[in-house]
Amino acid sequence: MSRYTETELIALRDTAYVPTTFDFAAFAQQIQEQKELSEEQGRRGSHLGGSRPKFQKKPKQKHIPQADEDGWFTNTPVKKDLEEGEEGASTFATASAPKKVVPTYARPNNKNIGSSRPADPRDVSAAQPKTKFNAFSAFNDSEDEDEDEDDE
Amino acid sequence: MSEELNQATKDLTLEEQPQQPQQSAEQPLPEAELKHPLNSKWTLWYTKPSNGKEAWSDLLKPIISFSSVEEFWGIFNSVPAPSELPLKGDYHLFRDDIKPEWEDIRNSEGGRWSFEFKSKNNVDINELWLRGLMSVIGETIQDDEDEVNGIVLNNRKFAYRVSLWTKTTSKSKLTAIGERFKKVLKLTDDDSIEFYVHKGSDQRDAKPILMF
Repeated sequence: MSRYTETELIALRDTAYVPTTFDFAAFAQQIQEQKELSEEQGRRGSHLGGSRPKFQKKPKQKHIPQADEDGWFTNTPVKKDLEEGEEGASTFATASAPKKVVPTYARPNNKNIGSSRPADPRDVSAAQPKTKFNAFSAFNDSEDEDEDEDDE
Repeated sequence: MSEELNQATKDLTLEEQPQQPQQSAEQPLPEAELKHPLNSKWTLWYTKPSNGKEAWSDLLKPIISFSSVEEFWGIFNSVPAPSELPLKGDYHLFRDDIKPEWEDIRNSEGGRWSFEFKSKNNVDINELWLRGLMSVIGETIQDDEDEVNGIVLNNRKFAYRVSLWTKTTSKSKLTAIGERFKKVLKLTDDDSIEFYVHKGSDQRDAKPILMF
């Protein structure tokens, strides 16, 4: 096997022989054109946003649900009412125009659907009868009625 | 009449006339020029950047073959240097008629040592490529004959990648070759070259089987 070290090869550099079977000038020209084309495409790419700085957008402030007077929360943001006299008549029409109501659906609490326990503690008082039934008083009432009937 | 016929057929003989030498693409050098023959014939290939329409086979073309030191220097001095290549342009130097493709039967059982020079402005890629070429054609990169099939240079946007293609994946041979490859590329101990097997290289997340 014929081997040549780097030093030996460099020493033979002056003996270079250029084969005539290939058009080196045309090849070099072709590569030059390809390089110019790729550089041009690279510039276009950067203009279109390839290396353009990306600014961080300010994140939208999330609506934080607030409890109303009854203690209920809603996901629908409450719009500020127009104060009287603050806005002109021109805004009145838009303000008073029927607004498209986007229904919001509350998710039902169906976790305890088989339970007799009320989901909301306020329902306890609502479900209870306001007046308790007293058997003795009811009995007396019927007697009175009978007496009245007899009197008549 | 017979004199005229004799005159007309004077040059027609059954003996073969000496033919004029034909101009072919593989025209050999005169013997006087072949003072320093190489161990193998080598072919320089070039991959031009894709424009999205051409197939890979149309992009990869052989430029020229050579088999002597004199031809090597003549070709090296005449082709554009690696730093002049367009992005996504590649040079390949392969032994004999081996194609610089994984599918070639002499490559299919092998792999490649690879290193990426990520700071393109701080590396003299022309010098390193020349060192790589000399180690391959001079056969000093390997102990065994024909273990190294070729060497590849890729010019990419963020890096120059130099790869050394081997015929097998024998660890004992690869370690010695990898060690020399690092010296050829003037790498330090902190730099590590990676060896990829060709059979897994078509997968997107191919991982090296060796690092050195």
